[in-house]
Amino acid sequence: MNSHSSTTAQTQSSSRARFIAAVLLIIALGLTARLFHIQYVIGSQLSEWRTRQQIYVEKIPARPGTLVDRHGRMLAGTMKQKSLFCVPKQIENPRKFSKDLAGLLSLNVKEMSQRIKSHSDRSFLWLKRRLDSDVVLKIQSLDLPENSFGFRDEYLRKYPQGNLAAHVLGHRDIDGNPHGGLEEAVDQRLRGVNGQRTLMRDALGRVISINAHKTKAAQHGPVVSLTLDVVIQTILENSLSEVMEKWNPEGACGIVMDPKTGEILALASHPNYDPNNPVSEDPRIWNNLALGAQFEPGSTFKPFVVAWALQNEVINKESAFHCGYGKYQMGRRLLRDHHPYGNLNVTDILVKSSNIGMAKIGERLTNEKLYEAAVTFGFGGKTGLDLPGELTGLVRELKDWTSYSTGSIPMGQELSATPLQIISATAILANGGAFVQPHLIKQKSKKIQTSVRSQIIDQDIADWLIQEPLRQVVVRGTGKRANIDRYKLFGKTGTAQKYDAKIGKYSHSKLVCSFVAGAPVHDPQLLVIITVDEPKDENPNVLGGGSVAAPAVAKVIEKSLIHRNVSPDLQLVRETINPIR
Amino acid sequence: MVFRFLCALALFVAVTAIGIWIERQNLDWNRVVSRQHYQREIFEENIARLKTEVEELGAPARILEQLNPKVVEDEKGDVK
Repeated sequence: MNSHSSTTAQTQSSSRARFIAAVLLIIALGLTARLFHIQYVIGSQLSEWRTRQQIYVEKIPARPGTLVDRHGRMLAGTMKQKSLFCVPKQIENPRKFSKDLAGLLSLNVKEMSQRIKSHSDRSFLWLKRRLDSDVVLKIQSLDLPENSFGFRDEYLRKYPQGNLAAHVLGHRDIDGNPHGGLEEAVDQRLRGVNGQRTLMRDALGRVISINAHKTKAAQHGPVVSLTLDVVIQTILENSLSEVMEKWNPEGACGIVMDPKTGEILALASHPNYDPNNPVSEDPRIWNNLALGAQFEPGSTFKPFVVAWALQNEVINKESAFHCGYGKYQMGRRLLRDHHPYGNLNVTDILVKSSNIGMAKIGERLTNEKLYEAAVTFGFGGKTGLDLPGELTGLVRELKDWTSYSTGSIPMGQELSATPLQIISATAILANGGAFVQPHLIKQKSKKIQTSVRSQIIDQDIADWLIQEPLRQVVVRGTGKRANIDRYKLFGKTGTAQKYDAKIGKYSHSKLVCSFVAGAPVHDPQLLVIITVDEPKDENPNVLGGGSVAAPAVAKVIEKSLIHRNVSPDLQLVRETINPIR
Repeated sequence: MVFRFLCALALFVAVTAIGIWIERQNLDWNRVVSRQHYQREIFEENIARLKTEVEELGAPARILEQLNPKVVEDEKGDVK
């Protein structure tokens, strides 16, 4: 009995052991199968998930480059500013959320709440971009729901000189896209190259470490040096502001240039705007009149005709022309001068700006040579300045010229030019007869000249024109309001009538008044042009290049030369102290 | 025998402890280097911000504006 019961107990315990062993085996097999599944079936997918969760590649945005003037003063720089976003998915009460924030962000509570509600399925929504640091601090101190909002750093373009040179610099919008000026012209260079860094994160998304081996530093935009001089730019802009205030024109612009190198030292157009906040209802502010507007050059064109006539030996420096006492019948056309003149030599034709004298020089040159003169001095083509939006001006094809053109072209009619073209052409006379390409980006080395320079007229002709007729224009001619005590200026006034499409002819009230001048006369260091579009006055007869633009140009030249440490003309200073009576 | 066993155990513990210490140091340095990546960005940003502020404060237009009343006074003085 006992042996039977013990046998039964043994059988029971061995079957239990087998059962347990079988269960353990099944568990072990299950685990092995699961391990196999994890390792070989879904292993690669899990590994991918892990990598995605743990490793994060962060973009390092390149900081756009800095624009500085010729002395290193910053004109445009970049800094970071925080922008606020919210996570609509995480916001349970949009109304309360908006109420807490709207005041700080200067937004409407209702509109903000509505916006959050309408995007409630999204994980990202900009609330306000580019916030001041004090607003950021106030938002951080608010008791807002966790994970419902965040800040992102964005680059903000800053123009520390304010309105200064706005048309030269252009501006960038909220997304950093360039609009106009050098920002647009050299954007590719300024942009730099974005970098990236690889981060190791924990399960909560916190950064554990940065993988230095896989980090690629951003190549920030370089510092681009311009030829501008902020002080001269300020002088020019102040003068233009005074002109705008005094003559209430549609617009005014000015350029200061080094005639020897073609470097633009200042360029401005008014009305202008603040590139830090480029918002205005006046559409005129966007146009850079210095190169984006074309006018008939008027009398400022006359010296180029004379230069070309001298170069082609159809006249000489002593040539004289009878100006018919103010009237001259040229074919079917009766030409008139403002004042009646008899015999005038070449110098006096320019000094008194005689249209009849110029028409007679034009007759000697003929249309072919007049066309050559216009094209050779750069009219009808872009100067190649490194700014977008430059106009070519208008010089019609020679086949379209008539006998009328022979009288009109020498007095600067029937063609149009930008102020930049006029100053570039005047630079040819001021630097001994060579065309120098105007430019705004400073060349790194004087040995490597990338801008164009080509001889147009003989040096003695250019020097004579500057030192004789154009100097006399300022001493006793139409530009005498530009005569100053310190430096000997030379220049040429221009007063062009604008074509009025309404009446179908030239307007007597809508004028474009210009003055292009330089100094010192024996070694020109600076050239300045100021063009004023439609100046207004109770007495329209006073309007002209000599009265509207010349005093402003003289002021700019005098202050700029002092700033550049150019010695005053001693003879002139002595004459001023002890005037010869 | 016991002594040898204890020595081996101590050696094992020591090697492990040194390994852990080195690993922790490594992690600390990694953390420092990682932080420096961000600190460098902060410094670069501070430089950019300060430079801009300096340029804003020293802008010739702003200085001339402040000097102008004085110039007017001087001119008046000259007239006297």
